[in-house]
Amino acid sequence: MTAQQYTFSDNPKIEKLQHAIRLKDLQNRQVSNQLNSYQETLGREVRIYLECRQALSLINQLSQQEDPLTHGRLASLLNAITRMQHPRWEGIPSEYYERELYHRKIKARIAARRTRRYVNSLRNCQGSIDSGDPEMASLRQKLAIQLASPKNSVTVDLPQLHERLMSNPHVFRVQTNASDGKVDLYVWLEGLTMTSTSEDETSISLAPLILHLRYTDGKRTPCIQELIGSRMFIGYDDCLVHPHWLDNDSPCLGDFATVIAQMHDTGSIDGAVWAYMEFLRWYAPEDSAGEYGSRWDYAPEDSYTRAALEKMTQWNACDSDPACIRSEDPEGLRRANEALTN
Amino acid sequence: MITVKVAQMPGALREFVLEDGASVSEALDTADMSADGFTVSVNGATSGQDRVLADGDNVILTKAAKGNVA
Repeated sequence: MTAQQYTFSDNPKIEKLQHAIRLKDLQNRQVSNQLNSYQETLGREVRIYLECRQALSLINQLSQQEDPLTHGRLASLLNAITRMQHPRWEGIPSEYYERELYHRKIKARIAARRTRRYVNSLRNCQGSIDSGDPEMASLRQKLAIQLASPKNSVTVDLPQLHERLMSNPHVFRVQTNASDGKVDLYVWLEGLTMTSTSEDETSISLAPLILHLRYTDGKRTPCIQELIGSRMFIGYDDCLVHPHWLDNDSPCLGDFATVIAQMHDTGSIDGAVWAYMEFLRWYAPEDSAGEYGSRWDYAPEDSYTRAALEKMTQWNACDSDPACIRSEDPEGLRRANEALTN
Repeated sequence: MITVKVAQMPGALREFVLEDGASVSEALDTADMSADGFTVSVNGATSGQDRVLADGDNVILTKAAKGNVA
């Protein structure tokens, strides 16, 4: 019996995988370059910001000094000198730098997250090829979700869905369980605010929460996880995170219901999550449910936020299901843990 | 070519095929929709109308929910 000659080029699956790896490698390099560029820009912006702050601090200290001859303060003289040396300073308020820094940090964070994901994907492919079983290198894990009836099901690309959800700065963990004909999608959210549509546009911080979408037998059920605890308000007997969420299983979707149903029906699971987030971001004080928004505190109590974050970071949907698919943002988890220790 | 979904809440969801590099404002023009009085978000993040869209993006125009029509 002669050993079978076997080369990579004879096997289209191997070639396909190698092509995919080359593509991922290219994307990885592109994202790394983009990340370096972001970091350079961020560093430059931070230096400018700190220099300006230092200049202001110096002016403030010196302006208090009194001239022994004229008994006048140096404030006016220093003011004139500083304006001459930093002619652009007056036109650029500090809010500009803070806003720019915030946006650049968000972009850098997203770029870093994408880089990690590409590297992990590369490792998975390489590991599968090393193991000698190219079939194991499933670049895409697909899952059929029954949306409204057995005939109306959609195949969802889970890694792609997770990637899309994780690209949002408010999402720091996503997990998907599929067993016994039901599919559970959990999305960890933090840093959401709800804003009044009235003229004052009052903004109220929402506590961190887990959005849970369950698909079973053609039905879909949105929940806010019970485990995050309760936040009691006058006029309500139940735990709520939002005036339009009547209890853990029943959002009062009102006139948002149509679009959310259409998102589901067209297989846009990420679109449905975005729609729920938009739903949470607003309340109308003149509405029968939204009128209770005035009873919300501007920010949840620290103890409540801490308790919610503690439960959210400890609770893991994947514990009970080894086939569970998870995506995590280590930076988001680090922030959550920092908030817990502060 | 890219496919994007444009939703108005309250309202309806529609899907469009656009040229690569199309922006939010071009998507709204194609959908014959105006952002006046709405907040625009792309994939769950508030966005300006000059943002370039990618395949599969979800553009949502939002006003606060009203009513108890479940």
